[in-house]
Amino acid sequence: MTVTKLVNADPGLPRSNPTESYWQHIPHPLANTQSPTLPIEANYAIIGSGITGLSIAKTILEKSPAARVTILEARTLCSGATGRNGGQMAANAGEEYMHLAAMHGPEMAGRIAKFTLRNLERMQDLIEEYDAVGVSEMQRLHKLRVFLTAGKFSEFKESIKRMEGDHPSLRGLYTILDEQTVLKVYNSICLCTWLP
Amino acid sequence: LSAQDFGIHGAAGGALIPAGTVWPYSLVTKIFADLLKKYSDRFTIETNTPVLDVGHDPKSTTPFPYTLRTSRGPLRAGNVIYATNGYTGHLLPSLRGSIHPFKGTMTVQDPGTLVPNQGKSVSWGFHYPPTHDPETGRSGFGLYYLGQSAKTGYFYFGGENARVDDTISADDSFVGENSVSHLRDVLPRFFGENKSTAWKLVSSWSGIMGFSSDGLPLVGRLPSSISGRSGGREWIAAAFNGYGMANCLLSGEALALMALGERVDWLPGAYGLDEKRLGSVLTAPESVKALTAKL
Repeated sequence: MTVTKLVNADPGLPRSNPTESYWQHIPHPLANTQSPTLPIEANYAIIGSGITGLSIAKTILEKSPAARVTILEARTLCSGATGRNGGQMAANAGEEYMHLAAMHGPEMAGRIAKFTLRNLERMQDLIEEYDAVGVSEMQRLHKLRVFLTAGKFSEFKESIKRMEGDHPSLRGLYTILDEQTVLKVYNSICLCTWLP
Repeated sequence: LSAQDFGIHGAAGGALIPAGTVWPYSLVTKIFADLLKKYSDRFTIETNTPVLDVGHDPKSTTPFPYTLRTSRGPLRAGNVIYATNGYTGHLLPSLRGSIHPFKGTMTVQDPGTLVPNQGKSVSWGFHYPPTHDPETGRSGFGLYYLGQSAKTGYFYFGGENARVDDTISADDSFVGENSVSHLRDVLPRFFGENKSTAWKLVSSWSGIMGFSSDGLPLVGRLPSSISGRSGGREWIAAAFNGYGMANCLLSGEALALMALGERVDWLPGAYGLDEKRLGSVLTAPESVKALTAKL
């Protein structure tokens, strides 16, 4: 099939027999939760029970004391992308900055960068608020981005330089490492057990 | 030592950024449980209840002019909110092409005692120029992502290396055989194991992300030109382009506030659904352009 046909295809409903994600290998007791009969009406019907659906429902319930909210989920609770992802909590706005600035201008590119960083902070706050550090195995750490070719590395450096130039408040977030330092860090982090 | 000694492509450089790792399923289900308890009189979750279609009665005089037809019967609603990411095009055919599914493959691999557990201090991303192998038809999409469980030492390793028709796909009922063997082949090499000593495969699965033609999420009120319905009470937060953990929480909050009639000035305007975006950069041909640049 051509790419045009592929992107225009009906994705269909979520498949009823998905592969088992390791994140879900012990299903939550609410995995198959539903009312005995479907409610007749709701002020807000939300389709999807991943982290987006959660955030929408939580906000409406907290802000609107009379609102009746129903989430409709095709499969089990949180069985889509949120329940099948890579487990990373990282932003990519710095990497994308050049492209975003070319498309939307430096101001909007900066707003997007700051929004994603704030979102990550809010994730960590939420996890702490719900006393879920243990159960979610949340770790605050550093992500080591490794650029495997000189071309990718110089694109990246250019993007960060531009972002820091346009938005001084975003300086200091990224620590750029040259090849030797990456190998040293990488080495000390990952390879210490083998190297002479 | 040269860069080539450190994995299949070597390393030209890198960067450290503050980040985290998390088990989102356990977080989301825990909070849902709390909300169900706290708001038991006005909040329900109906799993195993696919929505088949959405209708709107413009003549309705009730606060519930929308009808969601589901496998368990109809639900009438005052607002319809799509948090459907890669599946959006099924219920909103006008968005097919602008948003498309993108299938990812994940593995959990156990390095045993070969690698120290650094799960408390570091996670990794490996960036490379997209590749295409005309013989197998498979493309490498430029990124591997890796985290280590601080508890078990298991590596959570993913990245897309597959044929385009297996990648632009909403079918997570199988894992591409080649995709898994590729991830098993690559990971030990990132850690200097140049012999083909595959690590124990604990688990593998696939998942469906939602990609948009301009690479940005769609968050806001759906115009009737997209929904095909009047009423103006349909809303969307979708297409997180593989970066949901950096976008979903606040996008969902912003959308909810908009649906409640509040002014939201902190959501990036470029996430919105104005006619200019819908007519120019948010189109199927733009998706094709963005994808073919990666193939």
